[in-house]
Amino acid sequence: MNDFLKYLSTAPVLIAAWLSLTSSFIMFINFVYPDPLIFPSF
Amino acid sequence: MSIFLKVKTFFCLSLFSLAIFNTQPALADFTSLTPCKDSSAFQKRLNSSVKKLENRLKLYTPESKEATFLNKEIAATKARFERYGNSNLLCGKEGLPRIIATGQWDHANEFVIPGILFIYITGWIGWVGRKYLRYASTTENSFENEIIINVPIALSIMNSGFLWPVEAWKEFTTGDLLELDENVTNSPR
Repeated sequence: MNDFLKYLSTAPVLIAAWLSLTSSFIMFINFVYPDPLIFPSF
Repeated sequence: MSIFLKVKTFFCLSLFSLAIFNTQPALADFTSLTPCKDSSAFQKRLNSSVKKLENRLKLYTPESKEATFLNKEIAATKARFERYGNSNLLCGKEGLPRIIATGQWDHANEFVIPGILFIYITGWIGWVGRKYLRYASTTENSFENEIIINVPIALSIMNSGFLWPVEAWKEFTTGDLLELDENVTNSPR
């Protein structure tokens, strides 16, 4: 288990996980609020 | 502090303050641009975009998946044009919205605010990366800490990075931000 956690903590694995999270977050924002050309004024 | 470093510090500071305080608007008059909602070319673009989708819609039966998708596209296109029309955007002769990047306040949401947000977020990323590397260099085997990330510490550093402009300023004034020239290795010239 410790070795597996160590594997998950290596930089390539972490960056893959982190970038997947970030890109899904951006896709979600674009799904909820499409075509953001300007910063919205609420 | 050597005289050279003092000059360099002064130069950095003045450049920084120039970027921050030089908000004098360029005061350009946009005579060749019209508000999008008054632009006939903008309306024409809306009509032709919707027309194209409607022509494709004719190829499918109303209950098909493609028709549902195209109807959604038509609604999204109309919503997009309406939103751009209702905002402060200016359109060119060809009917496309233009982003005004002169820094004037009435068009700040087109460039200035997104630009500041961009700098803030990239600064956040860079700042916490630097902070983690500096943390790693203090540990026993620093190279391993750069390859195998210490996740709990990295997360706490990432979460504390939102105040990075304040922290960077503090480090700059205490002289921790910039490395002394004699500590930077140079190849022989």
